[in-house]
Amino acid sequence: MRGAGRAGRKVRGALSLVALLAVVVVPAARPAPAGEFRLTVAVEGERTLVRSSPAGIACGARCSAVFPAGTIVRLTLVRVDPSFWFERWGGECVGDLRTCLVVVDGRRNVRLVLHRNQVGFGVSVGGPGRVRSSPAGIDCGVGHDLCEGSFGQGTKLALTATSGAAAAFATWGAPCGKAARCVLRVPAEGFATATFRHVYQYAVAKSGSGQGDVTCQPSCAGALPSDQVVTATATAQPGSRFDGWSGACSGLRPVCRFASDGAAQATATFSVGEPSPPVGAVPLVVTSGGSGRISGGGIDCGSTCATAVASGTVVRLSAKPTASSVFVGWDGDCSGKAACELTMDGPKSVGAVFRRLYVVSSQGPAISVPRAAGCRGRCKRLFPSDTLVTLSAPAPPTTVDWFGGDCHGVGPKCRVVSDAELEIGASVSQARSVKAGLTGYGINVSVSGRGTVVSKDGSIRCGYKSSVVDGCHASFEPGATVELQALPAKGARFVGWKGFCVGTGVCRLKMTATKTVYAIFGR
Amino acid sequence: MASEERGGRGGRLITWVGWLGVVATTLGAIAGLIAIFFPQVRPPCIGSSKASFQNAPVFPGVPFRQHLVRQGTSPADAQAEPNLVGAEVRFTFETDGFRKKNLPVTYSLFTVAEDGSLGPVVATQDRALAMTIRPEDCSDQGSYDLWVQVPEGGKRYRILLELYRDKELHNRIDLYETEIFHG
Repeated sequence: MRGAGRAGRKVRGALSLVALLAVVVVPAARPAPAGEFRLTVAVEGERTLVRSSPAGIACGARCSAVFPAGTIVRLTLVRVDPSFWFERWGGECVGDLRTCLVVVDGRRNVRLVLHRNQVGFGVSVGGPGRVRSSPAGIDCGVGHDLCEGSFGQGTKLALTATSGAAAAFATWGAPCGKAARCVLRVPAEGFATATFRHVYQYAVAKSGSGQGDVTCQPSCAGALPSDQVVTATATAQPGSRFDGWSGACSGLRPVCRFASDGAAQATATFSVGEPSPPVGAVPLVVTSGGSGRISGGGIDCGSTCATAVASGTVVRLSAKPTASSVFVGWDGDCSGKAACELTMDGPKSVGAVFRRLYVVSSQGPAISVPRAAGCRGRCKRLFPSDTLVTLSAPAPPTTVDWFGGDCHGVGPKCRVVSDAELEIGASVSQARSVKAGLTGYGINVSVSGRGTVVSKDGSIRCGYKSSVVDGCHASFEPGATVELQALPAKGARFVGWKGFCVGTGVCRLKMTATKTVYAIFGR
Repeated sequence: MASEERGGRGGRLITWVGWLGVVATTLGAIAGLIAIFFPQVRPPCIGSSKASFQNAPVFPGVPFRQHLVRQGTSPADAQAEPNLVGAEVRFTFETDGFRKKNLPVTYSLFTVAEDGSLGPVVATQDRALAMTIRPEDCSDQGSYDLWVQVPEGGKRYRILLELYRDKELHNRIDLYETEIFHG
């Protein structure tokens, strides 16, 4: 019994402490002194700001203050977080002007009725993959056509890229990074491009009567994304000799590097017998990985992939790709991409790596492929494998409604990796086609109270003395910017704009549509 | 003698017809050259002038920014505008005999009473100037989207479109009442 009483006292003590802390730490919980009342404002959005006059409230940060009973507090909506739009005041304030007056003759609560902007976000997928969003709304890829979703501006959106069979995720375009999962805040205007690569099978084997080993990086058989390079090394065992490469590699250099940009098999051949040592000359061996030839200094590989030259001789080697390939660079004792000059001061070993060329073709009324900009109808271009190709619509007003084929989705552009024969379609649309010309949009001004609204060019002069038909509306060229000024009459003051203008300064209207403006004058 | 006279008259007729052909061909060629080198010079429109609205469906609940983006404004520019919610009127019209004439289009927003009769016009949206159109040819047609701010959601409204011959709005050519819609 005594124990229970002690426990009860402890609980009461703890509750008192919590109450005391609440009063000290949370201003809203502190009771207002007699003759004073608390005014509390509730807002949404990090950048929304409401200020009070007399001072006390600056909400965002300080949303509650105590005022002497009977104080008339003017609340001003200074700014609205760009992710929201302001509809009206709520609680003890009504109306949709930027300012609101509250008489603090009791505890008062005011809130802003704000709505989060709903904006569209589109995704285009290049290559064999799929993009899904969380929250749901986007599921885009071949066979999945939800490529545009509507999301709250500024909310968190996670996009996950999943590769299809025989494919690997390559990259996102801005605003996403390189990881397959992209988390972003939904922008007012935005889209994302996801790009996938093809994955190709390859194998490195050995043949012949001799004994030898083949080692490979990363392995001698498997599947790799198209941007990778396989390095194969052939080593003959004692009593055998390496006779050269065939297939994806050709030549006599034991080390061969070839790109995994298509299904490939390379074979190292060994035969019985010791290799013949060079006599009185310096050996030069070359190997080509991919489709191309190396020539110069007695070398013509494909067929002649080894030679011996006098010591001190300078040999100039050049790499010649076939019509369906491109030279990527040298390997071994040469480097870079230019013709290689070798001083034969010892045995030399040179490799060349070639990549395939793939056709990227687009079919659409006005889709641009790089290096074929502006081509209409069918565009067809060759790109080295592993090139990131961006397909886009020409300048506005043309927009891509939909990408199809090896690109899939919605957005102004789509990015693919040229690692297969790709065919991309697009449907585009022009801005609305109208025949009779539009020469102007109307501005309509409405004035309440004693004042006049004038436009800078004088075509609007609307006030309590003017005729509505003559001065309160005018037509302005589409795209023009019109400045309206509010001039209060003697003894009056300008309270503010409403409609398509806000605040109390000069109202600037861009003529993108018909617009109505209200000017309110008070005493 | 008489046959000689007849023959002479026939010859003159043939000569005249020949000359007429030459003149007509020359005039045609000149007209063709004018059309090529001065395409802005065109003959006047023939016949009476008339214009009419064809239809004007209303789509309520359209945010202004969405309307702008559909008209070709970039989403970034649209973001700078207030996102009021209103109704979009998609109207089409035909004109005859108004080539290169500026024709104002106005709209009036009416409330609709419970029994379907027209209520008072919404103040400030009474014969408001929507836009000015300018037909390119003697016979022309067009379609535009007009966004109208609707003051109160849930209420019933109707829009009256009017097409005028003059910017003073004295001479109306046609008017069109839309269906009733909910704001």
